[in-house]
Amino acid sequence: MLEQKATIRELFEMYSNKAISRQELKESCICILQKIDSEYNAFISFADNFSIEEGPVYPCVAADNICVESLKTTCGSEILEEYESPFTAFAMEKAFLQGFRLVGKTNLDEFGIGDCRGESFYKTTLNPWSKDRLAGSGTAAAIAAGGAVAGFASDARGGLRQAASFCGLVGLKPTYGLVSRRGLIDYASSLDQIGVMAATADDTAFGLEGISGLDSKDPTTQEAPANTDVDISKIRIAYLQDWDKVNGLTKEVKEVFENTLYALSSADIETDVAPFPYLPLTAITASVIGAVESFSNLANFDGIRFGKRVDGDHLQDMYIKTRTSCFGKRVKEYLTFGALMSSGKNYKEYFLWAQKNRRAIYKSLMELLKEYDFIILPTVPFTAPLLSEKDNSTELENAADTYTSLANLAGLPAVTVPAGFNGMMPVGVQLIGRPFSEAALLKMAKMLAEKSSVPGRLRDMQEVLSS
Amino acid sequence: MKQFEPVIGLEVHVELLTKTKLFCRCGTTFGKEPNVQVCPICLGLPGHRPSLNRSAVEYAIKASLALNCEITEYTTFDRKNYFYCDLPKGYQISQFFYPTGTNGYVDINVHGEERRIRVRQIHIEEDTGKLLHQGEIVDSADSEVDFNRAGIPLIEIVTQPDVRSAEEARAFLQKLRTILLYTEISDCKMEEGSMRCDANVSLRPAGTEPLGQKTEVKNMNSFRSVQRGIEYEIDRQEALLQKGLQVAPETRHWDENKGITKAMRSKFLASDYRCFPDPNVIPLFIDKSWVSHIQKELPELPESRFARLVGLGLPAYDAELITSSKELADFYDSAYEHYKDAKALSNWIMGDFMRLLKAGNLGVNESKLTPDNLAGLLSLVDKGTISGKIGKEVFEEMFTSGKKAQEIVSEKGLEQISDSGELEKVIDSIIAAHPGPVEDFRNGKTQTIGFLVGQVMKETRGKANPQAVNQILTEKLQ
Repeated sequence: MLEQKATIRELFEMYSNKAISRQELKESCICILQKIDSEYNAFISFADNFSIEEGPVYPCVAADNICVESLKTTCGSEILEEYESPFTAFAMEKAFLQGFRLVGKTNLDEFGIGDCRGESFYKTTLNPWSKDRLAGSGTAAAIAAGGAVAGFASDARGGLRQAASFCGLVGLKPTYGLVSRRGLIDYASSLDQIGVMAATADDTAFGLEGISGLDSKDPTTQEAPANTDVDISKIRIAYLQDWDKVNGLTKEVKEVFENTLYALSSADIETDVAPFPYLPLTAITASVIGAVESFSNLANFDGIRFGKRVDGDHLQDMYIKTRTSCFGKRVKEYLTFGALMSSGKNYKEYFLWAQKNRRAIYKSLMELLKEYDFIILPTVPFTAPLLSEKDNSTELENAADTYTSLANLAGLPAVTVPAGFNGMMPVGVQLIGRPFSEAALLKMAKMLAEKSSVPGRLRDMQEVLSS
Repeated sequence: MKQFEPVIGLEVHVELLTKTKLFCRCGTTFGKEPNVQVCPICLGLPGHRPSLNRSAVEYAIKASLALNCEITEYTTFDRKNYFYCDLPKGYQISQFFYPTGTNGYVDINVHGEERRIRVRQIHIEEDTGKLLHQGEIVDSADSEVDFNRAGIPLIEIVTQPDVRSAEEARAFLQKLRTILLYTEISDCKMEEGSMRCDANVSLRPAGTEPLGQKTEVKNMNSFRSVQRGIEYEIDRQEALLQKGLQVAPETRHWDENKGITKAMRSKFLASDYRCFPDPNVIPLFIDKSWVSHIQKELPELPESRFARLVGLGLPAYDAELITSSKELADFYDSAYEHYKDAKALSNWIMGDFMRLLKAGNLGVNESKLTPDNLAGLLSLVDKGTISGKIGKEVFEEMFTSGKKAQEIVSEKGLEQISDSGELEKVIDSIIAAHPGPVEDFRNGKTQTIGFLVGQVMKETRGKANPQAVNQILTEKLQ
């Protein structure tokens, strides 16, 4: 057994340089991952069956709503406690071909529904920066703690970016259609994308390269057009009017964002305020659409063909007992909300209203992106909430998605990058780009991260952890 | 005049003959053992993604064109959300907002009266699984579901409430079936469920406009039961209305054995489907050039084919019978290319050919007889190479062996004897052998010539040319 003085990434590098054997790699990996899990509740399962052939390999983790054959895929839910998918997500298959090796499947809000608490049926993930705070997801905690080079997770209303922001990471939600969703057990198909989080913009870019690309069996995927790069020397960035009037925005997050704007203009990057009247509507719009889609998407969990079943006196009784007993409280609330929002005349009043907002938001952002290369926003109005606030924070319920869900509603790529601190806790800012401008976004993210002290302290933190 | 007028609209589900299902590549064969034609997509497993089978859309366009519909230029595939154990995903994907075809019609003829039944729309949807049990599923604790059928593409053809009797409903369905069989998009087998018909039936006082309360009649699994089911339902509603009672809005189940419709327990939560476009299936633009390509490939349909055959000189009865099946009409047309006596051809096809097919329980293309071989046979008869009677024997052999007529005739030496030298020898011997009839003839009983001709035919085993025999005999007897 090796000494516990290396991150998983270093172990994989040692293995690629033939400094350690395959057996040593696996044993050390498991050892470190178990430690990360026992500290932060980051994992739902470990994968020690990865194959290692010639060539460099890179450790990755994936949220447990991404199907990987021969491993369990629980979605953090009791209903899938014993579920093994008969197929692997296309994005993961691609990543494996690129040399990524899955070391574990990470904890998440049940089905991804839970306002970025990182709370599943099994556990609640703690933040490596401060164990009395939420991490947002097991993926974020695992990466922050040095458990892998890159983490793959879904982002429907902003969960991936919020968790990355809570944990001082770079997190990217790609353009809708860049990454196949086949094998992702998503809850909001029109909003959701598999994205990447990593400690640096470069690793994020590397992870993205691993998973993106056309999938002939997911018709919503698209080939990225060429020439989406932007000229970094002539960049124009817009920030949205009334960004600072958002519900739940803390003084510290506001300060970090203002500092970022200042840093940009000192670097001679043009920043303008742009009119955008929809910020008060984004969270509710995404919530209604996500709820209606999840009500429909999760209807296949009926106890008949897979998953847990609780027997009943007759069919309807079985449905009710199974879904009542095996879905968690937040999922049930959200599905009920979706049923309500689409029922009878609510369909027009709320669901179609939300679709109308969505089109207006899309049009407005696309209009802005004709003039500006990026739109800059805070990622979350607040920093990682205290564990003790988990069940009684109205901000968490209502305001967490305000800044992030814009990109989901418009299908645009967005990246969060650590930009500063609120005390001990990192704060992210977010950039939204034109469709398929991920390369430019990540270039910009790298520039921003270099101006921030977060990455350095993240490295220090990881070293402390692995010692 | 009747007191009440029935108003009937039909909803016909037709399973498409695509090789694979609507959103996955599973097969569509009927009658396989349960749950072998399934995959994560048609089982609705978590994380599955549907991908549209474009040939299903092509088939739906074909059907829509054949039924005179306008074709939509844009469509979405929408989720109709409800829970039922035969519905794997908890929703059925269907063209709810933009049907493939709209505003079509089918013309029918009932007792010589031409009626136009308007087709409101034709849309594509997925079939459900099949329950493997008897009785009411909602009350049953244990039941099994076969998902082989789940996800097979269907089109639903919805008519306007233009049908006025059970007989018209049946005539419409039969005409619809014939047309669809021509397009080859479905095998339309009611007994296997690849064609299913539900009827919305209501009554209104004769001569009035407003529609009465309707019921929906389901589970009519043959043309006959469609007619019987609707007839029963009309009578049932009429009896209620005459007593001053109201018709309840309900779905009723046709019970074939008892010959009655029964109120069905409604599916729970079935009223609010919350339809919205499936975000996993992208909208489809139906290109005009695609439609015109399909239009060009559309076969000649029964009505224009009928008119063409009548134009060739066939009686309407023959033309109707021959165009009632595309295979038969195709057979006729290919034979006609080589043999231009339209009526003689239809006589042979409707007579001997149909008789032998029926006896062998064969389809038109399942016998060994080819259209050009049939044409060859008829030409031999016309040329006098063989007699009509021998022709029928040759036909039977062609039917089973697939040989050409000429080949059979040569092999068996069946050529008609028209050579007068050869015939004279035979005729002389017959005259010598039958002095009685010969005497009678010469005494004026001319009908005895028939007997003598018969003897010659017998002697030549039917090969003698009867006209020639007649002529020579008459000359010799005078």
